[in-house]
Amino acid sequence: MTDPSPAGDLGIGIGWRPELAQLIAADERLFVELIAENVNPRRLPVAVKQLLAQRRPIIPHGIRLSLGGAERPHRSRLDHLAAVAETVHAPFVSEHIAFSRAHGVEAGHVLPVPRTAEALEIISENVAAAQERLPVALALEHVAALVEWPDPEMSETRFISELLARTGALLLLDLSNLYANAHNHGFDPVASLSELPLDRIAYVHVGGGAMINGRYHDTHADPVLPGVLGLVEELYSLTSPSGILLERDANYPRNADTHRDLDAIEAAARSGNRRRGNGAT
Amino acid sequence: MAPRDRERYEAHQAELLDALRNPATPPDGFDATDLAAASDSLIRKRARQVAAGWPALAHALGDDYLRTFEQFARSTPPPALGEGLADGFAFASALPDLEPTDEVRAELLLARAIFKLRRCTATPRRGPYIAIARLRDPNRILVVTRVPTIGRYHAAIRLPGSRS
Repeated sequence: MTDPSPAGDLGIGIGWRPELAQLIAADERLFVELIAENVNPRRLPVAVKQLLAQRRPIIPHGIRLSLGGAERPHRSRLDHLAAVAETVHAPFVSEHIAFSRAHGVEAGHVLPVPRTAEALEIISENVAAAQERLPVALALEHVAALVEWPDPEMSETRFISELLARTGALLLLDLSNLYANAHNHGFDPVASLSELPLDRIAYVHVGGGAMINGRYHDTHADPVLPGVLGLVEELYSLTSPSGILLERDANYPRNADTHRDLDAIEAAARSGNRRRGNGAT
Repeated sequence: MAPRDRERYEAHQAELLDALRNPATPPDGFDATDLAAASDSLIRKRARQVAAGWPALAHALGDDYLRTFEQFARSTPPPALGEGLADGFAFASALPDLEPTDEVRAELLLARAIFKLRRCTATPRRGPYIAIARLRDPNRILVVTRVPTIGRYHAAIRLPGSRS
């Protein structure tokens, strides 16, 4: 009998990309996340169909619903996300607390929203509209922001907690995004962890990043930094989430280097679990 | 939330989007240095996505690639669909002095089989498509076909009677 995974039910995972398909096929412990906008649910890539046949958990991850935008989420985009979720028998889907277009102009990215009562109300309405059309629960991810909106009315953790409380959505906790915002905007990420509703975590993201001119950039194209791994340990010293997933989107390294990142994440989670088991948080 | 409040909320977001392409004049209250860093980061990300979809084009531009792409990206928002592939199509089509290598011609023709391009906006092509391009090698032509539900096919064909 093998040891239980340090990451709980889903275990350790990685974002599915064509460039990583072989690594994922060969490592059966990995669950995956599928960028919903990049697949046609009627014509899934063969490698994804194989994961489905092996009953590997697949979580559709939306990147362009723009739930933080002024428009209510487009019905066609919601129907697409719902169809992907049904096709891959997803336990839940995830999207961002962010906007990605305004006045018909695309951002090409998930951008931060103003942390105001007005934004909270608009986003809560948008999330509720999305939840009505989705067949499974929705998990919301907070984003990394190099630039902040002026005059925030509340902290990021309070904004996230309030949004989850109003909508009943789950939390996709991205530790690299938390690290990025803490480093770039000067707050304590470990203290922030205990301000979040950790019991609502669906799963956890960890991505690689780089320091450029003193700022942390959440590139998903570099190795995972030690500071982010430290947050993995801190999180697991507080709770044991169902799963933790590595995001890599570019500059794909040799498989051995990807495995090194995955192993480091597991080791940090295990170390946090030990601390929790010893009652020393 | 009243429609008027949503309109005001959207106007502020549109202002930020504009500033992220051209951060020289930040909207009221935004930190100019943070905005410039965010702007550079977004353009680098787009450039990475385009280079991944258009490796021959990026290679052909060499050391000028990033500078040339940045000029384009500061005036053209990213596409709604197709990410790097569609963005690269608009970029390649906006290069008036481009003298494409055979590999770049192949990338252009393949993109035309997937997208229609109008005023820098690429939209997915729906019907069947066939196109032929001459290559620098006068003995060969490039043929691209696209048949809905079946997929794409492309080949460089040696012309009958040409010298090998």
